[in-house]
Amino acid sequence: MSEDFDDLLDKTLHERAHAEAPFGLTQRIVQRTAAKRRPAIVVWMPLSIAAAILLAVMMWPHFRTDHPLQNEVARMPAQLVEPHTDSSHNSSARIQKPMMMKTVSAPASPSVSLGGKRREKQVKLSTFPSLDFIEARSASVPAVLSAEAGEAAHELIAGEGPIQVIPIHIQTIQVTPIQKEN
Amino acid sequence: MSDAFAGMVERQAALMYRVAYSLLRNTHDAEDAVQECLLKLYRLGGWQDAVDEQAFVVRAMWRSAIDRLPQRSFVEATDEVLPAHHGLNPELQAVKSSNEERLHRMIDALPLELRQPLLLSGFEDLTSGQIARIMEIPEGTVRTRLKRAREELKRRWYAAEERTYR
Repeated sequence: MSEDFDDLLDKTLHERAHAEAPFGLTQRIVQRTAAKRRPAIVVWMPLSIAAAILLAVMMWPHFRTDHPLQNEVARMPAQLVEPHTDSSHNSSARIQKPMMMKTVSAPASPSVSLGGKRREKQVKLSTFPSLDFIEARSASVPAVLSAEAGEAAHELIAGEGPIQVIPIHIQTIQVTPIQKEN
Repeated sequence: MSDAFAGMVERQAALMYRVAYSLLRNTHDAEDAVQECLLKLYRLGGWQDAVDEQAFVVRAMWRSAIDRLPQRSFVEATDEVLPAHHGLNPELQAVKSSNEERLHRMIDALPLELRQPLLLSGFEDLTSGQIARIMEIPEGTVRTRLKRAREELKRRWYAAEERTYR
């Protein structure tokens, strides 16, 4: 009786494993697969547009004419501002594009620590070498950002002297080394 | 379409169809599952770098076919009273009361971890090593599950027989 069942099971399994493929299956599948293939442009065009939009959004603050940094230039010491050499322009300063953008981890200030644990925060630092200051941005409020960026900025500012932190925009601060007196 | 892909389809399509059919037991579903699986393989690749092309393709096929199973098949059904399989053709409907059909339905009601080695063991062109690679488990585990599957089926079979003749 047990043998009968084993035989029946083997027969059933064999039957299921040896189903006859429909005639012309391979040919038909190759044709249908080829027909369903997406043209490359359908895939890459939306991706390219999305990348361009993302890039534009990320770079927008640096091209804005009403960027808060423009107002800061007027308040800066003369030696921090690069004057125009072109005589066709007036003597107003211009802001150079960021030389380098770097994302660094800064230790969180005590006000944002959770349960006594230190939390790493991402602060984006943009350096303007000719202007000798650093613009720091993060999702934190300015007060917290000052503490975060202060330490991070030391890594980038040459001289390691004391720094001055000026809030210039919500979630944006400017870090400037304080000039040492000779 | 690349010649390499067309070559792979020529080599594996029939086996893929049989694997799909062994799980789905429906010609149209099996054919659709094969096409869907080949489309994925065409887009994602991977089969060219596989050490064992056959095992790689069968594993992909099995996963595609599982996605087409009706949800209730995942539930461990009772031994005897099972609804007719979704999409059965009229010919199979006619013989559903036969012993063979009853056994088919019992196999379909097995948990997937037991059903997979049991069904794949019916393919003479797959070695136990390949079945292990397809299932991504050791060969010894394949044998254990195969034994468990057969014993479970036998237990259910005789339990159903006993109820019938009581």
